Amino acid sequence: MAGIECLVLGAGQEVGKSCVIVTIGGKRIMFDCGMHMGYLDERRYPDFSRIPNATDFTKSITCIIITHFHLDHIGALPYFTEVCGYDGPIYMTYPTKALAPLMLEDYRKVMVDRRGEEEQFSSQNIVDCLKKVTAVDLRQTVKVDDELEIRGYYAGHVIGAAMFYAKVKDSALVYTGDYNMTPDRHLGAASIDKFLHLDLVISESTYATTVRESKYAREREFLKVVHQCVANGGKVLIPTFALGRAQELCILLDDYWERMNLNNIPIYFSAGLTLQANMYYKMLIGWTSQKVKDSYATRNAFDFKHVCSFERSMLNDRGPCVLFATPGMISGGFSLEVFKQWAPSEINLITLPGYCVAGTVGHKLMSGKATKIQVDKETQVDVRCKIHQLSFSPHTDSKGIMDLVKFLSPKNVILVHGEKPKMAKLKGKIESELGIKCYDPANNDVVHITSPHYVKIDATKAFIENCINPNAKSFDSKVEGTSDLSSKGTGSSPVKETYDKRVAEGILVMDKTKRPKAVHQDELLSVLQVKRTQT
Amino acid sequence: MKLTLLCKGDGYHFPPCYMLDLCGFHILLECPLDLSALKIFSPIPSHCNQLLNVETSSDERMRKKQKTERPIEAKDLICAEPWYKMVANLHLWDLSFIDIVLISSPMGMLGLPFLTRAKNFSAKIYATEATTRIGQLLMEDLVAMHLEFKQFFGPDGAGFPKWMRLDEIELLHDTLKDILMGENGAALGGWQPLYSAADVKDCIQKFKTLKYAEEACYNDTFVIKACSSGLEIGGMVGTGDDVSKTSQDNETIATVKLENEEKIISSCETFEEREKIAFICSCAIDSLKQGGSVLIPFARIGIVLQLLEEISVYLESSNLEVPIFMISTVAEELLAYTNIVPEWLCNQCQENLYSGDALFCHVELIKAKKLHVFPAIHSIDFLNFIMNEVAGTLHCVCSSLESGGLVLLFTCFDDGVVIPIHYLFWRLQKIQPLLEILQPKCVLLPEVLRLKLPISESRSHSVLYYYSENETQSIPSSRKDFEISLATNLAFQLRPIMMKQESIAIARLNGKLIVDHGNFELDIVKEPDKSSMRQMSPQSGSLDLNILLAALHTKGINGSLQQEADKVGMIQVYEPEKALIEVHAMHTIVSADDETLAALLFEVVSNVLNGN
Repeated sequence: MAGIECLVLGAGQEVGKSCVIVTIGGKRIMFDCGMHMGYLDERRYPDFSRIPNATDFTKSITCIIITHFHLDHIGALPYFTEVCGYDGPIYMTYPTKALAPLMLEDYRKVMVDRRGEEEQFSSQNIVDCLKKVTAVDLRQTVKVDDELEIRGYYAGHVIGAAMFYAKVKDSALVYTGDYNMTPDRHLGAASIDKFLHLDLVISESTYATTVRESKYAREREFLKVVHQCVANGGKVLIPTFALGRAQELCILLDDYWERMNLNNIPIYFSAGLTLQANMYYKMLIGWTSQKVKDSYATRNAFDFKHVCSFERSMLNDRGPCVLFATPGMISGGFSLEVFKQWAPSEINLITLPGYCVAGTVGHKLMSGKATKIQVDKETQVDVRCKIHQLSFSPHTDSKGIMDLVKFLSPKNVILVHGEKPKMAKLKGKIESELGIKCYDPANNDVVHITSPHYVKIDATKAFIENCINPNAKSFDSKVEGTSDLSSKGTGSSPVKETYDKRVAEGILVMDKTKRPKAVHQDELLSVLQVKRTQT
Repeated sequence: MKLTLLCKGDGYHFPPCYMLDLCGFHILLECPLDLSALKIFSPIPSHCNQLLNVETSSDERMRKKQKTERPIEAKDLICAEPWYKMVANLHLWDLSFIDIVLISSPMGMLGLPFLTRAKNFSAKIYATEATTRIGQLLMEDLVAMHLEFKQFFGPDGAGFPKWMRLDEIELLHDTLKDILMGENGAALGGWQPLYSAADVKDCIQKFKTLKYAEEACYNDTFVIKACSSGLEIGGMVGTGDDVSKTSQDNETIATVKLENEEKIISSCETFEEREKIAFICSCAIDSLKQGGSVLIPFARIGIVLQLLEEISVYLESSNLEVPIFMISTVAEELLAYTNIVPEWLCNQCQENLYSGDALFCHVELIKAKKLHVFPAIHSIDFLNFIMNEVAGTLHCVCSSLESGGLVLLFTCFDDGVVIPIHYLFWRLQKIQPLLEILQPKCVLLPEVLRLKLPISESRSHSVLYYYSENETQSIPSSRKDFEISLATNLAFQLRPIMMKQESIAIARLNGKLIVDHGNFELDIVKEPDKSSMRQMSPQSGSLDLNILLAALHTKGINGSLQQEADKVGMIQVYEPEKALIEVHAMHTIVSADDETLAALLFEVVSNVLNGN
């Protein structure tokens, strides 16, 4: 009866639509409720019908925990609560609750307004859904009900990202979500308590086999090419996601601008979304790294000095500039528009994010030395500008995963959110190097894990005290070596032997009518006698 | 558990201070400063002619000696660099014995640097992140204000100030003397010269800061959880759990502090409070309309934020273009800080976060140049501003501490209104609901509440205790048994023996006790027991020495019977090797050089006991 059952509804041997249903001690928790960005059919959502008692999700699921605001972790939530009808508790951190609506609304707009698709959920759905959310602080211990206890830990990755610990009775697990074990400019590294006595860790494994070098070299490289470009009078286009990377790179650039005294070269933010996001970041500065946090009074790190907002008319202004534009993979929208204008000039620079989905302009630029890119039926762009690929990833590398697993030393590990062959390698490494049982289930697989079981018994104070106090015992050894026993009277002092094995010793009394009780051996008689008089 | 009220305090600015002895852990609850005692010192004189009075003439001394029941005059005040009065009774305790310090509000930590700078202080200090930060700012403000006195009076000489000499004290006005000496001079020991900025920094470094509802574990046995108290940002109600789970533990701590467990300021203040704030606002507006100015001294940041919101609304509605000043060395930082702690605010403020607005309106006010923040009254910017301003200004001075600056402003306020803000924090009506939520086994309340707060013991499930200052109140432990989690694999190893007469079975337990977060777990011992000591499962019945001797003989072991002390039977074994069997009433010890012989003897003894 004791044990944990994991149903992987999404992100099993793939990246996208993270969703794991964990049944632990009779409670059922849904970790993340994401959508897959690569599909447009029913495969974009986790297959909720596989959840036991799928007719009444509120009854079936004790609570939902969302680790961070990325769409592959939260995208299906409004659909699940407003369309599928789940009405139970939902937990996420304050920044996630604050920023999730921006992400969801942006996605909905792209889907419905631009691509003209049938909408999966409405704006009102998003608002209603977020109203049901309970925001939690890091390390805040939340008692969901009498038995289920959850707690968030700092995960790095994006602002507000958290790993979650859940405990029911004697079974406990940690679901990491996405995390980063090395600090970056504005976020700290993941941090969690040791000695949580975990039966299971469910970890992401995006970079299951990569080991990254120092990020300072990569930062220097990035700054160098940007500086070179603007020094030659070129324009830099940084297509980026509105939240996270944009702020990270902007802190980097703003700082560099300050140091190199580049006051005359403007940095622009194109989208209102990013400016709005900065407003949130300013208030949520407590969730960033210690260094950024400490600076709040003198100057909030998200009050960018050199950043101004961008007007469409400024697109062909003379002179160098740096522009942040969405979306990140140049799949459309403003970044594509700017790309068309700026790409043909060889003094300009375009940076690309670390990962681009196939089919996007970003992917085409990344995959080879494409000189001509067919943007749509009519337009072909002559790409003469410089291309720089960014390699800042907010995910942990394989060393980080190994470090975390070793640190937590759980009894079992389940890998999700990664590519199948890499995960298999990492799985082998965890099993051979750390000796921990590891699983890499595919979507819709179920993993069963046994966990140790405990029986509750009573104990007397004397028993506990006897166990806790260092019970170094010394006793006179009446027989010492080969010495003669008869010499005892002649004055040779007996040898003192001491030992302290810190072993809990006592006697367990099992009465059919009562809970078993551990007593100290000296108490045994009195306990038994008391019972005699009672019966 | 024992609770000692070290000082009953006085309202918000001087919270009560307790020492709690919980199963041997000494826990200090709060470490405040009695800032009200500062009033015996004269503020920094604002005019030079006042300076002349600093030297008391012999005439003056004579006059002072004729103490009558006259009211205090400015001249009576001690004109010297002020010292600060902390909880005097704390000096009766050995600092090195304090294990934990719990701080629930910023005001409760102002006296802490006096302790942390002592060499033998080694306690862990717990407070919420917000309390720590705001408390640090208040302490820094205090140090900055004290600097003015230091500059005025110059460096202190011998360390023992003149005004503390007994003959000088004798000359003081009775009211001042009472404050200075306390009853029978007991308070004299509590006076200390102020700590330095470095002391504050050191003190803060010793804090273990907690997040909202974070559980901290002391020594793996005592769990502290910080909940919101509703009194102030970062206010904390400590809840604890301890190893022996004596009884009341956490709940007691929560209750002695008499704070309510709600979420912070603004939205959830009582009706009464809201009325007070409305009253203050309307007074201020009246005065402003008549061309006057308003001065608001404060210390409680929550109230200030609320006042700022309210007053700006009032100003808006009455079409008054009046600048608001906030003057404090830490005002800017304090305001900035309040805007980045959404976790500690009420739902209303959190809604602001979700909709992307600033948490408090002061951000907008500063942007719109309606609120001006200055570090000090004598800063050039402030003076320039004042020069160009017409009448009608509203000042918030960030200090309840009577500083020179405040008095300076005071003197310019002939036509203005000064609003003293005094709040009652013993919200009696809040105790009952709190008790209903917590359902503690036992409640400790101050003696003064015995009549004021009728809690019938029959109605609540808790046992009530009343305490008074400087008396230790002991609370007996009501719990005898503890709960242990027994690992099933250990349970399977047990070899129970049925008792003859009853439905009871007993088994010898041998495991490893793990204490984790206040819970006990009994687990299997991993390494095999290497000790040569062996124990058998408990046996009933007594050991008859003669039968034992006979049984030994059949195994080829010979020995002789010796009755040593009373009730201890001994068998000296001499063949095949030397060994000793001690038979006590409750246990039997077999000692032998040779392990195999010992094993054999052990087996024989077991057999005899089992009646074979």
